[in-house]
Amino acid sequence: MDTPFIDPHTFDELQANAGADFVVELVDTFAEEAPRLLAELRQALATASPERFRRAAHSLKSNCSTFGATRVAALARTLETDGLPPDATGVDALAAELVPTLAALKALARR
Amino acid sequence: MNTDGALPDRWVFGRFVLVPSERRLRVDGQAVALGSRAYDLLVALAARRERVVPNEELIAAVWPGLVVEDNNLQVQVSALRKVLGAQAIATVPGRGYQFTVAPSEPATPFASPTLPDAGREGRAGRLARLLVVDDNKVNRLMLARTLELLGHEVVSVDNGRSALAALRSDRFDLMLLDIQMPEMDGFDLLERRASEPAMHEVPVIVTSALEGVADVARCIELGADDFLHKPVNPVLLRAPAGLDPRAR
Repeated sequence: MDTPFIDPHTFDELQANAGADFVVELVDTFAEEAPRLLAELRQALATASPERFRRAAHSLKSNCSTFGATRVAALARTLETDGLPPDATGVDALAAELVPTLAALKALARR
Repeated sequence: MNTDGALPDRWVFGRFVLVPSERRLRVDGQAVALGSRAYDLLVALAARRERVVPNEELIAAVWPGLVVEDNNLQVQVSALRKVLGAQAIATVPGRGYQFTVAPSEPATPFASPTLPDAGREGRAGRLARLLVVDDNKVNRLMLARTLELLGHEVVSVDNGRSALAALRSDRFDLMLLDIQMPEMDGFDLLERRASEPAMHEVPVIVTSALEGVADVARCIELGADDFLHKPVNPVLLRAPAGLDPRAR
């Protein structure tokens, strides 16, 4: 299955290395963690906390890279490297991309 | 590690004394916290000091059996130059590096270059007890799972403070350490580790998605034995030299 959100090679390799059942668990964990990290980004933005913002973006980037979710990883990377933005535009863009990405990851893991 | 010949027991290069039997460098009589890769690079350069050593030869000596990019070598060279001085290692563009410090006295007779703790259980290729330190749950699960599949026993904690407590109360063969964490981050933990000799016995591989060379170099300067970029390629963890940077 090929989707616009996930690099199939990275995902297949993850399944081959870690086991398909474990990847289901891993994806479910990420699906629980991602909204928390997104909320952390928004909270850091609201309180003007650059370190919190960078750390949350860094975590999202790292996790998305693990699953081959390259587009969200790139958005998170931009947030991490650019630091605290003046508004929520970048965070909103990441959030919009994250929803279908999580759905695609769940579908891939259970195919 | 592969060198041109047998290692001496003690090399004196002016202010610097290399003690291969202890895998230790002393500067002005003081032991210096040097990561394993940086130490191996120093030995490789010192053993070949009569000539310019090509990058690929140094990489083969320091990361045997692994495919490693040149920038990893540059990071280790940079870490060594901070300790030894910039002039100690000359860059010969297009050719490699050369150690420029002349030995001040003949090397003493050869002694077996075994690690002080090489006899204990849990070195690479055997069941090891590993400490995984990462605040990110997905990363922690992923790393622990990969290592457990390789047959190792894994203890996971989510910040540097918990890692410090675990290191003080338990025995580990290796620590895999994230850098960006709340409470106590990886840099802080490396600094604490450097000041507590017992903790310094536990090799550390930093696993991080940090991208800046300066951050990687800082880890090495603080005594980390190696740096693996996330997501960590499981192939590197399977290679004995990748899992245990001090296993030579």
